[in-house]
Amino acid sequence: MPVPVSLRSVDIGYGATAVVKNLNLEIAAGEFLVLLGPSGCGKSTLLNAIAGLTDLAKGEVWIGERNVTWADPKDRGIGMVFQSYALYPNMNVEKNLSFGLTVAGVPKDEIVRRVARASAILQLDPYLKRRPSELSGGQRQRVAIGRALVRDVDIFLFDEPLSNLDAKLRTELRVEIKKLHHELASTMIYVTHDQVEAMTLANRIAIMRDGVIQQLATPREIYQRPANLFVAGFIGSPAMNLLKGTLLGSDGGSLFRSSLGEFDLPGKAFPAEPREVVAGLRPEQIIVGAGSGLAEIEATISVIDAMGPETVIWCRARENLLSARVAGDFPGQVDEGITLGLDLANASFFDQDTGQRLP
Amino acid sequence: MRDPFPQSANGPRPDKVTPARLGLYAFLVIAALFFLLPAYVMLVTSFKSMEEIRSAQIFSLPHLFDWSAWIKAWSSACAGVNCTGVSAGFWNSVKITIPATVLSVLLGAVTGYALSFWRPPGGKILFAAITIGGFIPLQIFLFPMVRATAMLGLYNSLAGIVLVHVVFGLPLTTLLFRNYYASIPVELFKAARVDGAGFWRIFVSLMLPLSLPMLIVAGLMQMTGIWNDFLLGLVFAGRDNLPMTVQLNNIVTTTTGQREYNVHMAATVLTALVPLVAYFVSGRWFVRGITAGSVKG
Ligand SMILES: Nc1ncnc2c1ncn2[C@@H]1O[C@H](COP(=O)(O)OP(=O)(O)O)[C@@H](O)[C@H]1O
Ligand SMILES: [Mg+2]
Repeated sequence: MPVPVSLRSVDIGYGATAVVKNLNLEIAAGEFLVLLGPSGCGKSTLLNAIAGLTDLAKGEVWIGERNVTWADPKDRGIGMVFQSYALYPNMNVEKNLSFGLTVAGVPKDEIVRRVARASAILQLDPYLKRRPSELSGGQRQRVAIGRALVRDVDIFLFDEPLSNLDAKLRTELRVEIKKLHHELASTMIYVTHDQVEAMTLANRIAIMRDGVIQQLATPREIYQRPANLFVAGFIGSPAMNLLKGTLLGSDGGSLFRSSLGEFDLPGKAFPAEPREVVAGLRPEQIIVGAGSGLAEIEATISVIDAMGPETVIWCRARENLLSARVAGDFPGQVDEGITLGLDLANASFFDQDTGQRLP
Repeated sequence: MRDPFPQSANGPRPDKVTPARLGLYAFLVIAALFFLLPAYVMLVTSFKSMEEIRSAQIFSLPHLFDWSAWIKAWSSACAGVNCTGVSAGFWNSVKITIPATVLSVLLGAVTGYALSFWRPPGGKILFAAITIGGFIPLQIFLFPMVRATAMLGLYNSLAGIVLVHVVFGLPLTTLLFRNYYASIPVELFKAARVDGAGFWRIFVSLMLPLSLPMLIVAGLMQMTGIWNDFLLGLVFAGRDNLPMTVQLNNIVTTTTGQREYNVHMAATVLTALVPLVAYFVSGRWFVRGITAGSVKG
């Protein structure tokens, strides 16, 4: 049975320093929620508070129908997976898996059954008798996941579980975690600073900065309609192109005036008074070549990053360096002149002063 | 200046004996002799007869290996009117050292664990107090401690001397274990909490097995310290429980008749034997425990 989690007006601090301030978050039953943010922004602190490993300074934590604010970790129906794996070094894999069940006084045959099931799901059968030090990083992290799995927890908490793994294993295990969520349908809360993990795993992403949630939305929404400049810059690789300019309302649309020229924004109605803004364009919203029917500018190619299936080119247009996503077989050369089409109709606009998105 | 990039450079750099290196060796050799010579003299003297000793060639090997001084030292040397050798003291020391070592190490492990992971309110102040307590010379506590043990009815008893050793050992063992546990990732503790384990469960199933190297180091330090103790044994143990060191002293300082140097040397070596053997047996572990913080697996 999936269970919802609710954080209500939560403050968390270490001593006098407040790390999280007045945070509200509703996580639906069975949801895969990713907490994403730069390191030091309070993600682990928040996760530890949900687990009951850190006290709140203020506010409540609800899991399902119960107020668990003062409950011990073991009474919250949670399992936790740490970045450092945190396997018990003095026990073999089997003992690591069964430790929680032994502590809880689960009967022997039931323990055997549950360990066997978890070990089958995570393909740990060949390693049951090994010590953690005799396992690879990926195997260790699977054991750590298994430790939550055997206890039949309602909620899985992951604290950067893949950060210590190399790129290939990270991808593999990411897929496994996604599969696991699909099979178990448990509520999962996943902390990471890796946007690829966030985008691929999440039902919803909560982007945090300095203990404050900047935007809580689906990956697609966050990518296409970032709520502010911080989110816009944090999500996407290469980052969103930002162009400073002025936005003027006009009849039937608006006008964007920047150092690169004046462009009509048909169909976008903004208030009539001029406004200092930043226009945000994803690299795929900049099209190479004339005749695209978009707002066209002239630029010079300054760097070409070939990535295999695609190429990213960095083009200089006056004081701006713009990145554009092009095909893998892009024929251009550095220092070549080039025409770029800016898809301003689908661009994001942010207020220069507040950094907030304009609707 | 030497050429830092000689044309002929190839393969390993040649060893060079510099004056600094020579000085270092000289110092080490002298230091080694400083400790080894007295030990050598004691050993050879203990195997000599009194006649040979009087010939005053202290560095020469004995003409004839003579065990009688050792036997006398163990079982019949006199301390005043009491002629039982150091054997009675040996067993007293065993009875004091084993419980005092085990208790002080285990208690230090528990307090270190509690301070390190559970962070009780006031824990930092408590730890500071314990550490400072460990640096104050224990003579200062002697009189209050006498009164305290007397009040508990433990003065001049085996339990009393064990208690005193445990109390005076706790600052050191707590410090050792707290710092050792500080090197264990706190996630391990958190994982065990999430798994439902409580204070004692985590200690017994997880922390204690992980602290084997420190258990051995702390055990060894406590054991040697307690075995070698003289003052506390003299003050708190009572006549029937005097440790080996006190009895050795009584034998050596007994002045009736001639001084039996061979017996005294044998008795001294016997007294020193226990810590010596302990170090030889566990030396490897000892080094491992001391460096455990830096190279944890
Ligand atoms: N045990 C602690 N004591 C004091 N400050 C801490 C402690 N743990 C974390 N912090 C501080 O709280 C902030 C958030 O930390 P954390 O939640 O670990 O960030 P994240 O997981 O997002 O990288 C950081 O500024 C960090 O320095
Ligand atoms: Mg963290």
